Amino acid sequence: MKRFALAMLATALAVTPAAHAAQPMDPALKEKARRAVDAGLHYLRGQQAEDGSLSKSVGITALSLRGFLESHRGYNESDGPFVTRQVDFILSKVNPDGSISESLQNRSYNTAVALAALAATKNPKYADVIANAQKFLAGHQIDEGEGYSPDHRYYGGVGYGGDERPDMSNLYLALEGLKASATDPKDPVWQKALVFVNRSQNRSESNDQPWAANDGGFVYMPGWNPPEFGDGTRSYGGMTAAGLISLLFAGVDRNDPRVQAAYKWMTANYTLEVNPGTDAKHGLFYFYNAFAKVMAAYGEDTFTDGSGQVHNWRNELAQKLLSLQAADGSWVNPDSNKWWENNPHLVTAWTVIALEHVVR
Amino acid sequence: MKTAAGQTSDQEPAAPAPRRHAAADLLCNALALAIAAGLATLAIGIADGTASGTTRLLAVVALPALLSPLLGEPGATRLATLPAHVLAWALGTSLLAAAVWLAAGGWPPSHGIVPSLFALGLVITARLATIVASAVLRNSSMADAAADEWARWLAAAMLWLLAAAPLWLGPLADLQAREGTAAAEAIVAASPLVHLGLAAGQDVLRTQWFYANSSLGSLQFDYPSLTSVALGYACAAAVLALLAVGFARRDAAATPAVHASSPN
Repeated sequence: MKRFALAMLATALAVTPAAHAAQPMDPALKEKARRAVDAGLHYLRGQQAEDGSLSKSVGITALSLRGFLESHRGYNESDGPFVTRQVDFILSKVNPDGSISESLQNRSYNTAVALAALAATKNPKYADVIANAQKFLAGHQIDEGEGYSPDHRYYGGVGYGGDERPDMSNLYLALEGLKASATDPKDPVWQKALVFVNRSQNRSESNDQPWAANDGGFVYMPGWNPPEFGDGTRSYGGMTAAGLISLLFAGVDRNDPRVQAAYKWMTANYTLEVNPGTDAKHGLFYFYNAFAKVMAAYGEDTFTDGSGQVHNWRNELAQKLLSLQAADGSWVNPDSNKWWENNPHLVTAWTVIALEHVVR
Repeated sequence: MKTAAGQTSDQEPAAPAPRRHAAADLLCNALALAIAAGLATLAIGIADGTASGTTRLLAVVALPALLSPLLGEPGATRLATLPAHVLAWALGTSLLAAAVWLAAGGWPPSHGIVPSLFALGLVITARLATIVASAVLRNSSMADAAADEWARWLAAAMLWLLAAAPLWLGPLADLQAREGTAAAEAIVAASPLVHLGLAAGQDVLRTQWFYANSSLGSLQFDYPSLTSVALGYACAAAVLALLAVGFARRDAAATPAVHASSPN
């Protein structure tokens, strides 16, 4: 009987698809990751200026604030000035048009991340600021108001804020801010965003652009990647994570073929050594951050990569990020200055948020 | 004063070119400027409809301003010609604005006021620089016509180099990025194109064309404030105006002496 039971157990293990096996995170590693988050937050706290800002930037300060508010410590505004000063700095940069930014140039990016951070405070005092920021982001989306018709490749996108050139990265952050602040799912902003998201995916069945291939991954914007990734329209990891999570933010079901195609690309091309789909380390920490968020949202503990190898993404990402942390608790990309990844304030905030999704 | 052949002349300021030559020069200038403006508008996406209203506005304001040192009649680089020069620039800008508006659409007229004022400051400063450069070259024994022509091209080349600094100095900013943002910010602050973009409310370095062609767009930097840019132009124009007036007075004072010493 005992032999029969063992045989049944072995058979059950053999037929269970590895990708669906529940493999919770290694508890010891989880504890190390939490300690790494604590060290990262300690670093960020020590780097705050008198006015609570980091790098004098609303965007970086808001990411840091979010890191505190969403940590396993459960910090909130009652914990002291190291939280409230950051909130005050963000609120000091609220503009009459609803944007939250210290500069005209990054106002969409800054407003989006500030919106997510203010929503994370769960403080009803900021309801008006949040509502105005939502309106600003929706108004800033490229549509008929800017003179673009739905057949234009820019339609539905969002850019940095001073250029009207939309891209998948800024759109994803805008959608994250709108989602975090509970924007009405029936708001037209979501459907317009999906037009742009569809046109950024290498999937010709849902992308009406002539360049679209069929690997399921995403590019930076319809028809173009930055020169750091060789221009062209090759799918790469940072944008595929951003595109996939944008689909989920916009309410697309995880069984939708667009989601499935993007997930398949991301898992098939999985690596933590470079930005997947490229041979470069540009935007690597951006990828870690977006990858952690999208994998946590997708809800699978493990997946099988293109070579048939099974990965527990929480364990592997935690190990990678722990190995890259500096002694002072910070992170920085030593191989690239692109997209501010030489700035330890930004990269530490991103990595703290990534680890918080890993240990959640 | 010396003629192009190096002979002393008592004509003031320079011997006027025959009328038909002047007209041909003007026509060549206009044609060259139109071609340059056309190529630039193609490059920044106005022709294919990807340029935003702000980009169209910036192109309309910036192109004639950056080409302004080459505007006008050759051999007329004197302080007294400044108003006519500004008028020629304003006319060129209006024509380009009309052409772009008709071909690709417009922008709210009120948005054009601030960038136009900054462009005016740029045109005046560049013209004063041309006048001073011409005076310096004439004082170094160069013939009047040649000095004027060299000065115009020197001013134009300097303007273009500075405008394009984010393109050709971008790799330097990338190399220095680990040391801070100072190098990137200095390069950005030196570019007249960035100044006009700021005035037009545009993040020039993150527009499609610059983002694809300059490494600065993905680096960390802050743009200078409009106030500091305006002060910079005001200071530069004041210094250049003082120099131009000084050279004009010296020329005027030197003229009788030349007359007295000139053989009849």
